[in-house]
Amino acid sequence: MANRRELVKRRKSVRNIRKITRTMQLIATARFQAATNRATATKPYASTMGKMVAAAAKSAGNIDNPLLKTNESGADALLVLTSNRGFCGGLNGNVLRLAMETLNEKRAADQQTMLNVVGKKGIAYLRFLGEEMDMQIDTVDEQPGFDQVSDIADTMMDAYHEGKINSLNVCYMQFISAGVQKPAIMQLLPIAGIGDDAEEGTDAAETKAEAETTIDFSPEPAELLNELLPASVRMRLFQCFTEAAASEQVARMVAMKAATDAAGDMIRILTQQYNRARQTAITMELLDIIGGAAAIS
Amino acid sequence: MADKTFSCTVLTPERTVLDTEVTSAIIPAHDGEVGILRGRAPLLCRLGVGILKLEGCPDPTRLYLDSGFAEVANNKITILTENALKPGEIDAAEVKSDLQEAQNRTATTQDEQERRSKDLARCKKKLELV
Repeated sequence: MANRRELVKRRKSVRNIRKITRTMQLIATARFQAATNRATATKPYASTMGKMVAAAAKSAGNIDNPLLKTNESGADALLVLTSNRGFCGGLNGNVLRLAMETLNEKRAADQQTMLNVVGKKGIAYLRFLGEEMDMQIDTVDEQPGFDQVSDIADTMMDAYHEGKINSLNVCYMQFISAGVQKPAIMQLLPIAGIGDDAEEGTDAAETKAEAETTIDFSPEPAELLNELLPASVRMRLFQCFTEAAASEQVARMVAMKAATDAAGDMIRILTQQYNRARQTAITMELLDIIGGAAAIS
Repeated sequence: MADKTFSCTVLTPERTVLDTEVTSAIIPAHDGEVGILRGRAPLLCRLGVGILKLEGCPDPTRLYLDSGFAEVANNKITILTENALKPGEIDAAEVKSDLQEAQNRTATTQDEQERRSKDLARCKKKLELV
């Protein structure tokens, strides 16, 4: 009897859990749509920016911009993007594992490294490990605003100009498609391969046509680059943030789907166990009655 | 009559604000306004704080732009800006209080002075649009 009541209780609590995880899954699905839209909305801006930088760089000839040169004096900086909330499967774990690997590699090479962390989950994890963090940001929410991100980018660029950091790498969950995300490291500073950006999104014919026409620049290309490069760094960091946000929602969606399914399986097993226990009890009672009747006659 | 329109796109990092056909565009470049018609030679310029004026397209024909870049190529003008506002998106009361605040701010260093004059310019342009 006691066993049966226990089973009913457990089944009830599993049902409640399933209700919660299913709701979270639905919420994540809705947010995921919005987050992907935001992530794809950055694409036109980014590709146009890439084209502009390439055009200006071509005309400027010898480019002498501090953002392109490697500093030698300071530390390497690593910016890790994690989520503020949990319940998103292995997302934060994967990002943090990659971050720690990178960090340990740099340490093995005796390279001083500054650790900057975005997201409560990453901060909590690294604090637990006893790592020293130079910057902790937990104010960026699921919809990263460009203002917030550009502030972070400006802080990093200032540090770069002052020679405090040699390079800036961003460790985040790259959003490749709704089905595929993988932890990735992107080098933000110094800006690598300005020409490469232009290749994306422009076909060869268009690039050729552009190369043949002369473009009016205002101000001079070199001066223009001084403005364009920081803007493109901000933009790329913003892209990282929006991609990380989209990945978070996908991860949560998948994790909560799995949890809902697992809860469903568990309910089935518990129901089976309960029925079996009930049946056994009935059989026992019947046996008792029959036994009693047989004894009387 | 030959087609006089060309396409105009305004992009911010967060969204595409405008994508339309226009007959004329006046963009607020860093050193003054630049008028653009169909067939203009390729141009790449930095923008200042100001108002983008368009003609020959449905509303909105005026947009507030907060610096950025503009590119003209193949009868297509693409404007990248960190902040673009339609007249309806500007809160006049808020801008006025910002303007007040900026006017009353004491600026001693050159940095502060620059920031103050920038804020003032922003507020004034916004108000112009309202």
